[in-house]
Amino acid sequence: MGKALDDFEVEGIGHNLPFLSAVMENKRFREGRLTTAFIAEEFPDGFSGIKPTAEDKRKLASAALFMHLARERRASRISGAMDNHRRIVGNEWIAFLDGEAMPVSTVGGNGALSAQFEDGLPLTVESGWTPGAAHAHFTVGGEILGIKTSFAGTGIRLRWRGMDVTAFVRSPRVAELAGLMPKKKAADTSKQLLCPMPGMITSISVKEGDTVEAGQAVAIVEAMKMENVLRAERKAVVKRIAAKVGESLGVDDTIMEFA
Amino acid sequence: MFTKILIANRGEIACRVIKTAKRMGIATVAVYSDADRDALHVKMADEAVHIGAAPSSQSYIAIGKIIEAIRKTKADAVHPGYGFLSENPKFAEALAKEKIAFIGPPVKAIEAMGDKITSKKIAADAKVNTVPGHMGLIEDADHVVKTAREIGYPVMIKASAGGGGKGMRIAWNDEEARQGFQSSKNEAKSSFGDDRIFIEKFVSEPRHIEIQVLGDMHGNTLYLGERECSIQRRNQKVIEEAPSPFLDATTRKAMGEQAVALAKAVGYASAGTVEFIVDGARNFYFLEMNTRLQVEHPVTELITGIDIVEQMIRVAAGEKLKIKQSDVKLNGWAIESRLYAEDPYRNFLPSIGRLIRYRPPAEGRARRWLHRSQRHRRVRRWRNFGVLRPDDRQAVHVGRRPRAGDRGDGQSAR
Repeated sequence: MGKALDDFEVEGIGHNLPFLSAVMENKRFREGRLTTAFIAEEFPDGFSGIKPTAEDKRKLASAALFMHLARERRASRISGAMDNHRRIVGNEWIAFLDGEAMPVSTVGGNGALSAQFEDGLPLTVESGWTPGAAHAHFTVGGEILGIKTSFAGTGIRLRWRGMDVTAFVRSPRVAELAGLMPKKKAADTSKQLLCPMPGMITSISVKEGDTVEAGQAVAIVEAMKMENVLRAERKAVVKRIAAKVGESLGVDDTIMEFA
Repeated sequence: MFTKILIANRGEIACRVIKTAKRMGIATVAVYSDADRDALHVKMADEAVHIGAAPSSQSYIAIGKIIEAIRKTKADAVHPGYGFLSENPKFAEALAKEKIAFIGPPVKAIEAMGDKITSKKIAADAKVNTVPGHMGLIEDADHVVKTAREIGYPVMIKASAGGGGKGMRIAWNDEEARQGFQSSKNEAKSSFGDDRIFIEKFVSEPRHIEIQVLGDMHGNTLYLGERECSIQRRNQKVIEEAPSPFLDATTRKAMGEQAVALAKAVGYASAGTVEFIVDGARNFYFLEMNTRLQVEHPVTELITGIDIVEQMIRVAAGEKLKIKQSDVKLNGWAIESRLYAEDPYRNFLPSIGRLIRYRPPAEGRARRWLHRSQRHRRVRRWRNFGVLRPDDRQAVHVGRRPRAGDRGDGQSAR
């Protein structure tokens, strides 16, 4: 089932395939120790994707290397270049994945490559992946992985077994420079109540100027025929109410602001 | 046997019924609303009739429009699929008036099992185990607290007409009981137009295990094993499997026999499902009976080799069941995963958007259907499910589920 889910491609809408994969990999599920509270107990804080293990990281980094090299080699074969002056694609890389930098050297690259990480044995990668493919099988160290592949800026997004990671493969010099780039901070939305799903506001139970307590119901959004009660996360004063009862809102539209 | 069946449904279940009807040499009629003009079931059927506007109240659940389509196409039987009119006794009655066969249970069985309080009473009379609870309706917030204290917390507050997780709340104390009573009542009123509420004990370490039953009009009833549907979120099933990893042969037999007893008590003929809640000590209690084909029926088909839709059609045509209880053998393991249009990273909130890519896993390894064809652009409440026959690494051949200690990729040592 895990493999079938890996090979199931659905794009354009949010869907629960990564979550289903996570359940298939779950130890308790495999042992058959189920209850109707399984999801609530095994995923108490919701689902935020599966964290790759050290071994997974290496497998995924190898797949990313394969893709990066295939792309670079193809780019170097652009027409109109001067004879005998083809750009040489290097074989020393640093793969960044899930906050870890992994120096790696590669041998080969067309259809099959061998990746030598700093420690450990070389991993061989074979694949029929070509630029543009959204899914491919990668044979990494003898194991077949069905990975969904795409590019996100300069990153390589890989989705497999409920994991969703963006890998960066950089030459040592580019990696050095990338380290100097400033990081973008996420906007502060902690003082706003944003609509969590597309739906209709059926009730707003507070007024501007009201003080709300943590856990207090402040609004109800109806979506998919279910009433969803939105509650205050902490004590605050309502500064502005932006939405009206009966209004249909999209994801992340502001319902109210707190002081 | 029928010559032409109309399928009063859409999407994967319509396709599912059409496939079996075709194999049996029966002509098929699809119905469609404005929204489903290009849907797969319309293409698969021999004939298709347009029945109205996109809202289901003006098409798929408008009994008059379906009857009109039947007259026009001269179909001699109707399969309702699941959802829509499948458990609507008025529809079954309307068909009877037209002398059209309803491929489903008798009207009386639908009515008896459609109401949770009535069905519990019938179950208790048929000596089926039921969850300790209050046999009656809850009048107000004070009454809910009083009854909850009598039964003992935690309690489950439910809408009598409820289903699909709507109008259902668990309460661990007086305050939650009051709140849950009010929200259940509100939801029940808006979803079902019926705000009657009842209350029962909330079972610890509960598993949702259901028995597939099959009966004919000649008094033969049998059970096709169980399905474990414990992996749920907000009382919506996510993963179903058969057989259950928890049941032993004795419990399976006891549950099967009680399910059959209940089906017989209401004169059940057709495929139906008796849902039980099973606690950590394998005590089981009757929850409800679904008087229709269920979404997850294919996992049972995969392990028993019985085409449930075919049996439903044969029973509705008056045939006797050819299968005996001793012929029902469970072979292997099957798991179904439901693919929902929801965002798991945002607490599973519904997700709306344009479907730009849909490629199911290769046929043969997996059995799947598409709720709507890929050409549909805006998909709201899109839901699909795949019955994925566990691929070779899974337990089907080996007869067990992968356990911890199997190879890291889940590959079982064959």
